[in-house]
Amino acid sequence: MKPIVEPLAYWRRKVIFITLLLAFLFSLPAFMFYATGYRYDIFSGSPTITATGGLYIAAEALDSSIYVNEVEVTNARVFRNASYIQGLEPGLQRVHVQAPGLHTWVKNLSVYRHIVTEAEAFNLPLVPQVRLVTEYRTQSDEAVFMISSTTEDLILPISSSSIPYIISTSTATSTYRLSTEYALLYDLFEVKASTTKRALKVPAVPFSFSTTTKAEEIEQATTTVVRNNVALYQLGEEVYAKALGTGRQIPHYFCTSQVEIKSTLGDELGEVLEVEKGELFFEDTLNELSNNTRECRTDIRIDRRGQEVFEFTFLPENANLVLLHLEDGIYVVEIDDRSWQNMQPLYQSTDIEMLVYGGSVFVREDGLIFEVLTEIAS
Amino acid sequence: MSAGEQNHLLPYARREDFHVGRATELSGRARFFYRCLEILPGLASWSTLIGVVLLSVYAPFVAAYFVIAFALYWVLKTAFLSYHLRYNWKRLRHHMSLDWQPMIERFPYQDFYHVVILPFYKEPAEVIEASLAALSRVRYDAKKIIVVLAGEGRAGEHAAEIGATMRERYGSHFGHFVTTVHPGDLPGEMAGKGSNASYAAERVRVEVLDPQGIKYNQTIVSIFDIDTVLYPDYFNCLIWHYHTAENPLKSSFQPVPIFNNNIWEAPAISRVVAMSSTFWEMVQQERPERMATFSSHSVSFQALYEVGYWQKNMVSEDSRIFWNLLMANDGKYNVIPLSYPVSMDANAAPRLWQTIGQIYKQHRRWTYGVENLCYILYHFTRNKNIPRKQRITVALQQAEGYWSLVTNPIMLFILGWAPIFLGGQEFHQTVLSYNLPIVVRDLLILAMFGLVISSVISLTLIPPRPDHRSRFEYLVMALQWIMVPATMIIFSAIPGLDAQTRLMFGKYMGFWVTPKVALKQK
Repeated sequence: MKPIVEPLAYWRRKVIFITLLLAFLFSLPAFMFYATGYRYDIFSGSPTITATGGLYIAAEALDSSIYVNEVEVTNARVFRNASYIQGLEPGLQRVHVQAPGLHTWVKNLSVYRHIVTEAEAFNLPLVPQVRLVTEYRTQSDEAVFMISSTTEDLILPISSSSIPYIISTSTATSTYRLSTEYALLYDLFEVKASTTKRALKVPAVPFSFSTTTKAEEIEQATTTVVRNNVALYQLGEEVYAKALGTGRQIPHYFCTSQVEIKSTLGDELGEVLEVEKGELFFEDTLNELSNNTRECRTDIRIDRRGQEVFEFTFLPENANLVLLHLEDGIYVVEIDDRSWQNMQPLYQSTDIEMLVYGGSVFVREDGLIFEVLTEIAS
Repeated sequence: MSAGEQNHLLPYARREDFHVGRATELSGRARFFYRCLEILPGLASWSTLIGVVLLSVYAPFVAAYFVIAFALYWVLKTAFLSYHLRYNWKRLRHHMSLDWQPMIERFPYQDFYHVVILPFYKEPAEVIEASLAALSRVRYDAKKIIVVLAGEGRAGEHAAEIGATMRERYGSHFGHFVTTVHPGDLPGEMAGKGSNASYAAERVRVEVLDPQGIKYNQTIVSIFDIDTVLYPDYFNCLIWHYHTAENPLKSSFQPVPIFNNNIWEAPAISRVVAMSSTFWEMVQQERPERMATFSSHSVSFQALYEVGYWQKNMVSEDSRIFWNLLMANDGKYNVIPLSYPVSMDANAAPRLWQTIGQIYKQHRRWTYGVENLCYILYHFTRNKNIPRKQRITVALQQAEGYWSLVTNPIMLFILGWAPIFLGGQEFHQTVLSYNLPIVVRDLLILAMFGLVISSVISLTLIPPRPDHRSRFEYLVMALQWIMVPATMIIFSAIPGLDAQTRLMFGKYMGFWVTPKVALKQK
């Protein structure tokens, strides 16, 4: 008499081991090819292995949708505000990022095999979102707006605000207290008005791609703003962004990878990868990617739509977007100039002053001060 | 020890270096060689971990492919081990359901005696009493059981007092009830379980076996941690396996330690770690060629006597005794898995942080078992009577075990992301860089199915729910396995690396006694 359940037989263990070993050996190349970007299309007429690339789109706007060549991309979000779209065939891809109530961001991006093309989308509200900074506040800290017929007409048609405030037609202010925020911003606007010129009339310099850093260019600039190793400066009527860092410090849109260049120029990479027609060699891909180097330029001109630039700076908390105060309003422009530079209005009006303070954008118009929000106020 | 005193030892066990515990006990070239062996495990582990980091910096593509291959290997390894676990679980349950008593009737088991050695230090009386009470309830002729309650002199009066109390309560129940107090200042000994157990074994030989004329080859010694609670048929199951073994005098018998005595009182982290240890032993039960004795185990007195009992000068004596026996018997010694449980305490303290500290120290002590690898490799170069194939196989298996214990969890859960952070811009813009975390994540999710098996099996191994515990806790016990990636790093890889690093730098560890306390019911 002995237990029915015998110890696991050695031969059985060996069979399982060999099975799993074979599974490892056969599936490992598949995983490696997949991870490198190769895709096997089993449903096409003649099944082929294709080397694909990807797109990484960062989009701050909540509920935004991404479309590649008019087809919505789903299940691609890797972080709350970023999506990774893989398995794209090399070539030019048109990307839309849109969300209800926001401007649509559109860009043509080149996709290269084995390479992920990055882009940062931005979507400003279609209707400017403002918060009125009032001179007075109630004892319970509610904003009090001293209304007049002209100011009401000014605000309501062009902007939207969900920040509650009390409208008062009385000029008696004894029950209110002075807003310290208003006082500070008022002073800042006054100081700025007394120290800056609105327009700079410097002869224009023709635009050209620069491959070397010219320190004198920045030195010549009347105003320079630096953030995260990117400097904004003005030469003549043009505003430029200059990459100051080296290696990884340089934003991706200043650079072109060697692989991209080869793919673009004519299939030098193809010659490396395809030893025989239609046959892709993994080892060569690895070598090619390993030897991949970037070539970077240093300066990118910012699109100003031919208008005069009154003022420029970075959008608060962002080193890729430029805030331009132009003749007909304030705009946000991306530095990334692959295809066109997306430009979206933040606040449109002709006779305004702009102030960036404490991570916010403020506008003074007809004596009223607004904080202009970059997203729809909740 | 004089030549006459060594007559009972097997020839190889008479070597002066047979019981070597560390390099400093040797001299000349042997000392240098042994020191190199002590450096080897830590060096291999650190080289691997640093190598992955360097590879991520200087060859990120190669590192990325290595990480993918490693994650895939992990999935398949999980599947492989889960299969063994599930099979042993089936066998364990079957063995627990059997009535072993009729099965041993055909064997002359009446001639056999069981010496049960229970070493203790400062454990409270209720823990010791629980073990003795369970021992008194086993379905076996109690008169054939010789209980040795082995106290430690370093604990002061506690040992003698406990011994006297327990003798009064249980002395008449068993064939013999011996209490010993191991002197704390014997030369050449390290404070620990090994020296205490060896002292007790010799005392029982002199005081009981020899006077009673009990044959050594008919005496089976079971050494249990003091918190071990036996299941009723342990000795019947042991006798059955002993008599069906090909060579019982050249075999050790290993039960499955289930750390579930206090499972309802222990915190979740303690339960996961404890059950993981149990599962590892269950997996090993189905591949005995990789086994060494661990914690509670049984072995013939004669085999023990032939090698001079447990080693007294090192930490992990429970495994070392197997390696002693393997070397002394020229490789003709094995471990027979019983697939029958013994219950022990999960490592738990009254406060969570204390529990975490205790578990860490306990696992550092366990993983300090890497000192056995030095011993194995050293004696494999000395004892040429062991077949070469066996030496190579065992050495590689053990080396791989200690290496993977430390490196695998860190490589998988931490360094797997290194190429992404260290790989440079050229790597960062590739599809491979973006796909690496996705592929590895998906593979690890696949590997998590192994945890589902663990979760289900663990629920079948816990004692019945006490009335004061909510049914909701079953759900907690099922979900607690999500902590495994963290526990693998914190309580396996890091203490293992700690232990190997200490050994590498010659900072030898002493025996740390896991505090055993009776947790209050929550």
